[in-house]
Amino acid sequence: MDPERCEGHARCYGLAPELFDVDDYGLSTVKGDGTVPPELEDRARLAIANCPEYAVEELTD
Amino acid sequence: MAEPELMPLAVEELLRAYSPVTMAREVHGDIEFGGCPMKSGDKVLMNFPAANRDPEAFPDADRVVLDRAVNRHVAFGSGIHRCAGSNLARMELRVALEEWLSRIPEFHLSGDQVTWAGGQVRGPRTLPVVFP
Repeated sequence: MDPERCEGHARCYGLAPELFDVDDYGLSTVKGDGTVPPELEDRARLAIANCPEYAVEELTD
Repeated sequence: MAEPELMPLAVEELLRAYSPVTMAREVHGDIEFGGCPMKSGDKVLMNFPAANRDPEAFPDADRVVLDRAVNRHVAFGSGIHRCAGSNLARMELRVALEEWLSRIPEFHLSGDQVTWAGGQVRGPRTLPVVFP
């Protein structure tokens, strides 16, 4: 999650509340260290594909 | 009605397909963008509804697909001036649609004239419907 790009649309939080949170200003944050368990990978990809600011990115090892 | 869990996706799709707001900005600083020169002080309309029907961004852009899962629309704008009320509006849309559909699941247009608001905020002014 790129905090410089996030403008608080909260689409990621709406799609995957297990993976994202919103702060007091409505900006999104990644929960924990951002590791996505296999069963939530599809929803993580939806969060990436629906962000109007292109602020969510997939990183692989 | 049969799949209430799809309501959040449906709300996003209705926002995309029927984006009600066209925002405007004033240009600060001369710039050329996408081949269009603009001068400081020019007024610019930003056509979010047209962007949300861009066939390069949305397959089958003119079709309303209520369970469209990939839907990077800009009905609330983008960037630092993203609509400050967007998430309240989302909740209002969801609650209004859920309540309407649970109380009045069957309805149709009466056939009388639907009238529309023009300008930068588009929507029906009168929408005569009939329900049992």
